[in-house]
Amino acid sequence: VSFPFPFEDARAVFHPEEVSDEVAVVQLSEEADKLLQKAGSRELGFREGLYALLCDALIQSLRKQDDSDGYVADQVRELRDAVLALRAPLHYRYYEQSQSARARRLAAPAQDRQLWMLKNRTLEGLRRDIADYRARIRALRRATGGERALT
Amino acid sequence: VTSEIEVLAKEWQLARRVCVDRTDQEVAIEVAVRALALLEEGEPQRDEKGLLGPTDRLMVARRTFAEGLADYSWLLFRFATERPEAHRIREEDDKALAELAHLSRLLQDLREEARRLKAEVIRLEAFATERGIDLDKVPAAIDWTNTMLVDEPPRFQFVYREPVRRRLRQRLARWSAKLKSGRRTSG
Repeated sequence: VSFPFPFEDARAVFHPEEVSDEVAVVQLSEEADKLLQKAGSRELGFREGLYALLCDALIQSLRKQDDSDGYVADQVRELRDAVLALRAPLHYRYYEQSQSARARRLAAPAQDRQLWMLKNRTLEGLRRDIADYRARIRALRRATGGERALT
Repeated sequence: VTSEIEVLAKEWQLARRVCVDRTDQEVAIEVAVRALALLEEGEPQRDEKGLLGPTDRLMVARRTFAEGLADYSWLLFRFATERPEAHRIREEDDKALAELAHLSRLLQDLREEARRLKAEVIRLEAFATERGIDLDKVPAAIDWTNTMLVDEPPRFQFVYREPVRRRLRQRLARWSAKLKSGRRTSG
């Protein structure tokens, strides 16, 4: 599906599979900050303003195709619905991502401890035992007159 | 500059494309003005059937577009920015699991070798005792209380036993057969 300016590249902007994690840090002047404080939630308020700005640009570009308000309203709704259709998959992916990260974070200390025990206790102990057994075997063979005496 | 706000770079690029000739701070003011205007926007007038005219429909479409996409954008921002951390955790976990698997294989090999050598020590000690050698005088004595457990634990073996009633019945049958045969022989 192709969308008019400024949403020609909508898939790269909105699709969870293609979205980039690159972040833009927007510096707010005192004036903008005051206005956003009046608008309530800064994060959501800023995004609402941003999409209102983008929607105005979209309306302008749609008017070049057909100047009737009805047509433009339908097109705006269509683009909105197309993007919001991705909300359920995005929710699922976000839930899955945070749950699996949380589960791994919870399991990590036990896993690290298990690794540490295995490396520093069990394997070390076995290596030490093996060295002791070999030394004992050598000593016993010497004391009994060697391996030939056994056969 | 008093504060800053983070958005996905792609979204901000869209805004910069729309406002080509303005600075970032000017665009931010435009955005904030629109955010406040959306909040102060009244409800459109509906006709007697509850329907909206085309202009009002466009106004509602613009508002729902901004609200819906802002909501989606906030979720997308959290998803995208937390993804590298989640990816890093997954990679660390995979690495730890691979190391654990490698160490487990190594453990099996070492246990097998230790078990074989332990059996050899026991065999040689028995042989030396048979030959009258005092084991305490042989050097490198093993402190058995301080060695790792390498023997296979005894496995549970299932032994089928007849149920008690059936066993009693069988025993009774044997007794009665014995008695009968005893009577026959005595009679």
